[in-house]
Amino acid sequence: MTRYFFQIRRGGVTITDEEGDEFDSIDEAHANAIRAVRELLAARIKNGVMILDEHMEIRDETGALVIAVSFHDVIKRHLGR
Amino acid sequence: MTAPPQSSMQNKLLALLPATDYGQIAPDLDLIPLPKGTLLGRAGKPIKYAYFLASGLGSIVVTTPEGHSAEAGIFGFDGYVPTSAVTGLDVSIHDVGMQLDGEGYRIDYDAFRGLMDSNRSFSRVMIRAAEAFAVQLAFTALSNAVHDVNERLARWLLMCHDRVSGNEIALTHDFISLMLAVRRPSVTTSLHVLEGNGFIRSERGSIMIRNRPALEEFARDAYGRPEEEYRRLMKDLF
Repeated sequence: MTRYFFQIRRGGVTITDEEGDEFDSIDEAHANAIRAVRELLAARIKNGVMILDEHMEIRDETGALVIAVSFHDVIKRHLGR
Repeated sequence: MTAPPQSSMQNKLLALLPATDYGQIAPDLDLIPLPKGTLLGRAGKPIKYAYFLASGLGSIVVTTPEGHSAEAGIFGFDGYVPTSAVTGLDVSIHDVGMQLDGEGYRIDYDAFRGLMDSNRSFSRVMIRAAEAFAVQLAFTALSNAVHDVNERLARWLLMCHDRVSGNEIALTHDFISLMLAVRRPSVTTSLHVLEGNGFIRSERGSIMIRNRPALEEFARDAYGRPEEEYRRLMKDLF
Protein backbone atom coordinates (compact mmCIF):
# COMPACT_ATOMS: atom_id res chain seq x y z
CA MET A 1 0.00 0.00 0.00
CA THR A 2 1.34 3.40 -0.99
CA ARG A 3 0.00 6.78 0.06
CA TYR A 4 -0.93 9.16 -2.73
CA PHE A 5 -2.15 12.73 -2.45
CA PHE A 6 -4.74 14.31 -4.72
CA GLN A 7 -4.11 18.01 -5.33
CA ILE A 8 -6.30 20.13 -7.53
CA ARG A 9 -4.59 22.69 -9.68
CA ARG A 10 -6.51 25.45 -11.39
CA GLY A 11 -4.13 27.81 -13.14
CA GLY A 12 -1.91 29.19 -10.41
CA VAL A 13 -3.96 27.96 -7.48
CA THR A 14 -3.45 24.59 -5.85
CA ILE A 15 -5.85 23.00 -3.42
CA THR A 16 -3.63 20.76 -1.37
CA ASP A 17 -4.53 17.40 0.05
CA GLU A 18 -2.81 16.96 3.38
CA GLU A 19 -4.18 13.56 4.21
CA GLY A 20 -3.80 11.40 1.14
CA ASP A 21 -5.12 7.88 0.76
CA GLU A 22 -3.50 4.48 0.56
CA PHE A 23 -3.77 2.45 -2.59
CA ASP A 24 -2.50 -0.95 -3.71
CA SER A 25 -1.24 0.45 -7.00
CA ILE A 26 -0.92 3.61 -9.03
CA ASP A 27 -3.67 2.24 -11.31
CA GLU A 28 -6.03 2.06 -8.34
CA ALA A 29 -5.11 5.62 -7.33
CA HIS A 30 -5.65 6.76 -10.91
CA ALA A 31 -9.07 5.09 -11.15
CA ASN A 32 -10.03 6.65 -7.84
CA ALA A 33 -8.91 10.09 -9.01
CA ILE A 34 -11.00 9.82 -12.16
CA ARG A 35 -14.06 8.94 -10.07
CA ALA A 36 -13.36 11.90 -7.80
CA VAL A 37 -13.04 14.21 -10.82
CA ARG A 38 -16.34 12.90 -12.20
CA GLU A 39 -18.04 13.69 -8.91
CA LEU A 40 -16.63 17.23 -8.89
CA LEU A 41 -17.58 17.75 -12.55
CA ALA A 42 -21.11 16.43 -12.03
CA ALA A 43 -21.68 18.86 -9.16
CA ARG A 44 -20.48 21.82 -11.21
CA ILE A 45 -22.44 20.89 -14.32
CA LYS A 46 -25.55 20.49 -12.20
CA ASN A 47 -25.03 24.01 -10.83
CA GLY A 48 -24.31 25.47 -14.26
CA VAL A 49 -20.75 26.39 -13.27
CA MET A 50 -18.21 26.62 -16.08
CA ILE A 51 -15.39 24.11 -15.91
CA LEU A 52 -11.92 25.51 -16.42
CA ASP A 53 -9.18 23.14 -17.41
CA GLU A 54 -8.30 22.01 -13.94
CA HIS A 55 -6.12 19.05 -13.15
CA MET A 56 -6.19 16.58 -10.34
CA GLU A 57 -2.56 15.81 -9.65
CA ILE A 58 -1.65 12.55 -8.01
CA ARG A 59 1.52 13.03 -6.02
CA ASP A 60 3.45 10.57 -3.92
CA GLU A 61 4.81 11.09 -0.43
CA THR A 62 7.91 12.86 -1.75
CA GLY A 63 5.67 15.35 -3.52
CA ALA A 64 6.63 14.07 -6.96
CA LEU A 65 3.93 14.24 -9.58
CA VAL A 66 2.88 10.76 -10.69
CA ILE A 67 -0.16 11.41 -12.91
CA ALA A 68 -2.27 14.46 -13.70
CA VAL A 69 -5.92 13.94 -14.59
CA SER A 70 -7.30 16.68 -16.80
CA PHE A 71 -10.89 17.70 -16.06
CA HIS A 72 -11.46 18.48 -19.72
CA ASP A 73 -10.19 15.05 -20.78
CA VAL A 74 -12.60 13.36 -18.40
CA ILE A 75 -15.48 15.33 -19.90
CA LYS A 76 -14.38 14.54 -23.46
CA ARG A 77 -14.33 10.85 -22.64
CA HIS A 78 -17.97 11.14 -21.62
CA LEU A 79 -19.15 12.89 -24.77
CA GLY A 80 -19.69 9.60 -26.60
CA ARG A 81 -19.77 9.11 -30.33
CA MET B 1 -19.65 7.93 39.09
CA THR B 2 -23.26 8.94 39.61
CA ALA B 3 -25.26 11.86 38.33
CA PRO B 4 -24.55 15.36 39.64
CA PRO B 5 -27.06 17.81 41.10
CA GLN B 6 -29.49 18.70 38.34
CA SER B 7 -28.21 22.27 38.13
CA SER B 8 -24.84 20.91 36.93
CA MET B 9 -26.29 18.37 34.50
CA GLN B 10 -24.90 19.12 31.05
CA ASN B 11 -27.23 16.93 29.07
CA LYS B 12 -30.14 19.18 28.09
CA LEU B 13 -32.81 16.51 28.20
CA LEU B 14 -32.00 15.38 31.72
CA ALA B 15 -31.63 19.00 32.83
CA LEU B 16 -35.19 19.69 31.60
CA LEU B 17 -36.89 17.10 33.77
CA PRO B 18 -38.86 18.20 36.83
CA ALA B 19 -36.67 17.93 39.93
CA THR B 20 -38.49 14.96 41.47
CA ASP B 21 -38.26 12.98 38.24
CA TYR B 22 -34.58 13.78 37.87
CA GLY B 23 -34.12 12.54 41.42
CA GLN B 24 -35.81 9.26 40.49
CA ILE B 25 -33.56 8.74 37.47
CA ALA B 26 -30.24 9.94 38.85
CA PRO B 27 -29.30 6.68 40.64
CA ASP B 28 -29.58 4.78 37.33
CA LEU B 29 -27.13 7.09 35.55
CA ASP B 30 -23.44 6.25 35.31
CA LEU B 31 -21.04 8.91 34.07
CA ILE B 32 -18.46 7.32 31.81
CA PRO B 33 -15.75 8.60 29.49
CA LEU B 34 -16.65 8.25 25.82
CA PRO B 35 -13.54 8.70 23.74
CA LYS B 36 -13.58 9.16 19.98
CA GLY B 37 -14.22 5.84 18.31
CA THR B 38 -16.35 4.33 21.10
CA LEU B 39 -19.25 2.38 19.64
CA LEU B 40 -22.53 3.08 21.39
CA GLY B 41 -24.66 0.88 19.19
CA ARG B 42 -24.29 -1.61 16.38
CA ALA B 43 -26.82 -2.30 13.63
CA GLY B 44 -28.50 -5.61 14.25
CA LYS B 45 -27.12 -5.96 17.77
CA PRO B 46 -29.13 -5.87 20.99
CA ILE B 47 -29.46 -2.52 22.69
CA LYS B 48 -27.75 -2.71 26.08
CA TYR B 49 -27.68 0.94 27.16
CA ALA B 50 -29.02 4.36 26.37
CA TYR B 51 -26.59 7.27 26.51
CA PHE B 52 -27.06 10.92 27.39
CA LEU B 53 -23.96 12.84 26.39
CA ALA B 54 -22.58 15.57 28.62
CA SER B 55 -19.95 16.48 26.04
CA GLY B 56 -18.49 15.19 22.81
CA LEU B 57 -20.11 14.47 19.50
CA GLY B 58 -21.55 11.31 18.01
CA SER B 59 -22.76 10.07 14.66
CA ILE B 60 -25.64 7.86 13.74
CA VAL B 61 -24.81 5.96 10.56
CA VAL B 62 -26.85 3.65 8.37
CA THR B 63 -25.42 1.22 5.87
CA THR B 64 -26.86 -0.58 2.84
CA PRO B 65 -26.49 -4.31 2.26
CA GLU B 66 -23.73 -3.51 -0.28
CA GLY B 67 -21.83 -1.50 2.27
CA HIS B 68 -22.69 2.06 1.31
CA SER B 69 -22.95 4.31 4.34
CA ALA B 70 -23.88 7.81 5.24
CA GLU B 71 -24.42 9.69 8.43
CA ALA B 72 -28.08 9.88 9.34
CA GLY B 73 -27.71 12.21 12.30
CA ILE B 74 -25.47 13.98 14.75
CA PHE B 75 -25.98 14.17 18.51
CA GLY B 76 -24.28 15.71 21.47
CA PHE B 77 -25.38 17.09 24.82
CA ASP B 78 -28.70 17.96 23.18
CA GLY B 79 -29.98 14.42 22.80
CA TYR B 80 -29.77 10.75 23.61
CA VAL B 81 -29.11 7.54 21.74
CA PRO B 82 -30.52 5.25 20.54
CA THR B 83 -33.66 7.22 19.73
CA SER B 84 -35.33 3.94 18.82
CA ALA B 85 -35.21 3.15 22.55
CA VAL B 86 -38.62 4.83 22.91
CA THR B 87 -40.10 1.93 21.00
CA GLY B 88 -38.81 -0.62 23.50
CA LEU B 89 -37.39 -2.63 20.62
CA ASP B 90 -34.48 -4.93 21.41
CA VAL B 91 -32.19 -4.37 18.48
CA SER B 92 -30.46 -1.28 17.06
CA ILE B 93 -30.91 -0.39 13.41
CA HIS B 94 -28.16 2.21 13.41
CA ASP B 95 -24.46 2.19 14.00
CA VAL B 96 -23.77 4.82 16.62
CA GLY B 97 -20.29 6.02 17.44
CA MET B 98 -18.39 8.84 19.08
CA GLN B 99 -16.76 11.22 16.60
CA LEU B 100 -15.17 13.52 19.15
CA ASP B 101 -14.06 12.73 22.71
CA GLY B 102 -16.59 13.32 25.42
CA GLU B 103 -18.33 11.80 28.37
CA GLY B 104 -21.88 10.76 29.00
CA TYR B 105 -24.43 9.19 31.30
CA ARG B 106 -25.19 5.61 30.59
CA ILE B 107 -28.36 3.89 31.71
CA ASP B 108 -29.23 0.20 31.41
CA TYR B 109 -31.73 -0.36 28.63
CA ASP B 110 -34.06 -2.21 31.00
CA ALA B 111 -34.01 0.78 33.35
CA PHE B 112 -34.73 3.11 30.41
CA ARG B 113 -37.69 0.96 29.36
CA GLY B 114 -38.95 0.87 32.94
CA LEU B 115 -38.83 4.67 33.13
CA MET B 116 -40.66 4.99 29.80
CA ASP B 117 -43.48 2.90 31.30
CA SER B 118 -43.60 4.42 34.76
CA ASN B 119 -42.48 8.03 34.51
CA ARG B 120 -44.63 10.37 32.39
CA SER B 121 -42.18 13.25 32.51
CA PHE B 122 -39.33 11.07 31.33
CA SER B 123 -41.31 9.51 28.51
CA ARG B 124 -42.55 12.94 27.40
CA VAL B 125 -39.00 14.29 27.08
CA MET B 126 -37.70 11.14 25.37
CA ILE B 127 -40.51 11.12 22.83
CA ARG B 128 -40.00 14.81 22.07
CA ALA B 129 -36.28 14.21 21.65
CA ALA B 130 -36.96 11.31 19.29
CA GLU B 131 -39.18 13.65 17.25
CA ALA B 132 -36.46 16.31 17.25
CA PHE B 133 -34.09 13.71 15.84
CA ALA B 134 -36.65 12.75 13.19
CA VAL B 135 -36.87 16.40 12.16
CA GLN B 136 -33.08 16.63 11.91
CA LEU B 137 -33.16 13.53 9.72
CA ALA B 138 -35.91 14.93 7.51
CA PHE B 139 -33.90 18.05 6.80
CA THR B 140 -30.77 15.99 6.20
CA ALA B 141 -32.70 14.01 3.60
CA LEU B 142 -33.89 17.27 2.03
CA SER B 143 -30.42 18.78 2.03
CA ASN B 144 -28.92 15.68 0.47
CA ALA B 145 -31.45 15.99 -2.33
CA VAL B 146 -31.39 19.71 -3.07
CA HIS B 147 -28.24 21.36 -1.78
CA ASP B 148 -24.77 21.21 -3.25
CA VAL B 149 -21.86 19.82 -1.29
CA ASN B 150 -20.68 23.29 -0.18
CA GLU B 151 -24.00 23.99 1.53
CA ARG B 152 -24.28 20.49 2.91
CA LEU B 153 -20.81 20.81 4.40
CA ALA B 154 -21.54 24.25 5.82
CA ARG B 155 -24.71 22.91 7.42
CA TRP B 156 -22.88 19.93 8.86
CA LEU B 157 -20.08 22.10 10.27
CA LEU B 158 -22.65 24.36 11.93
CA MET B 159 -24.41 21.36 13.47
CA CYS B 160 -21.10 20.03 14.82
CA HIS B 161 -20.18 23.47 16.11
CA ASP B 162 -23.48 23.63 18.01
CA ARG B 163 -22.45 20.56 19.94
CA VAL B 164 -18.80 21.24 20.78
CA SER B 165 -17.28 23.78 23.10
CA GLY B 166 -14.94 26.18 21.37
CA ASN B 167 -14.49 26.69 17.66
CA GLU B 168 -12.45 23.67 16.69
CA ILE B 169 -13.89 20.61 15.01
CA ALA B 170 -11.15 18.01 15.10
CA LEU B 171 -12.12 15.79 12.21
CA THR B 172 -10.29 14.65 9.08
CA HIS B 173 -11.43 15.27 5.51
CA ASP B 174 -11.62 11.51 5.13
CA PHE B 175 -14.04 11.23 8.02
CA ILE B 176 -16.20 14.07 6.69
CA SER B 177 -16.30 12.41 3.28
CA LEU B 178 -17.69 9.24 4.87
CA MET B 179 -20.33 11.14 6.81
CA LEU B 180 -21.49 13.22 3.82
CA ALA B 181 -21.16 10.30 1.38
CA VAL B 182 -18.97 12.19 -1.06
CA ARG B 183 -15.41 11.52 -2.18
CA ARG B 184 -12.67 13.16 -0.19
CA PRO B 185 -11.55 15.58 -2.96
CA SER B 186 -15.08 17.01 -2.94
CA VAL B 187 -14.71 17.69 0.78
CA THR B 188 -11.27 19.25 0.31
CA THR B 189 -12.58 21.44 -2.50
CA SER B 190 -15.62 22.55 -0.50
CA LEU B 191 -13.55 23.33 2.56
CA HIS B 192 -11.32 25.41 0.28
CA VAL B 193 -14.38 27.38 -0.84
CA LEU B 194 -15.55 27.95 2.73
CA GLU B 195 -12.05 28.94 3.75
CA GLY B 196 -11.71 31.29 0.80
CA ASN B 197 -14.83 33.07 2.03
CA GLY B 198 -13.32 33.49 5.49
CA PHE B 199 -15.87 31.26 7.24
CA ILE B 200 -13.41 28.62 8.44
CA ARG B 201 -9.77 27.73 8.61
CA SER B 202 -9.02 24.22 7.43
CA GLU B 203 -5.92 22.57 8.82
CA ARG B 204 -4.73 19.01 8.79
CA GLY B 205 -7.15 17.08 10.98
CA SER B 206 -9.20 20.03 12.12
CA ILE B 207 -11.48 22.81 11.05
CA MET B 208 -11.75 26.09 12.94
CA ILE B 209 -14.96 28.09 12.69
CA ARG B 210 -13.83 31.68 12.10
CA ASN B 211 -17.01 33.52 11.23
CA ARG B 212 -20.11 31.78 12.44
CA PRO B 213 -22.66 34.42 11.36
CA ALA B 214 -21.25 34.47 7.83
CA LEU B 215 -21.25 30.68 7.67
CA GLU B 216 -24.89 30.66 8.80
CA GLU B 217 -25.75 33.22 6.15
CA PHE B 218 -24.03 31.09 3.51
CA ALA B 219 -25.99 28.04 4.68
CA ARG B 220 -29.24 29.90 5.28
CA ASP B 221 -31.28 27.63 3.06
CA ALA B 222 -29.80 24.49 4.58
CA TYR B 223 -29.33 25.13 8.29
CA GLY B 224 -31.65 26.11 11.10
CA ARG B 225 -35.07 24.49 10.86
CA PRO B 226 -34.33 21.39 12.99
CA GLU B 227 -32.71 23.66 15.57
CA GLU B 228 -35.84 25.86 15.68
CA GLU B 229 -38.01 22.80 15.97
CA TYR B 230 -35.90 21.43 18.82
CA ARG B 231 -36.41 24.67 20.75
CA ARG B 232 -40.14 24.49 20.11
CA LEU B 233 -40.36 20.84 21.17
CA MET B 234 -38.46 21.46 24.40
CA LYS B 235 -40.43 24.53 25.46
CA ASP B 236 -43.19 24.52 28.08
CA LEU B 237 -42.98 20.80 28.65
CA PHE B 238 -43.95 20.85 32.31
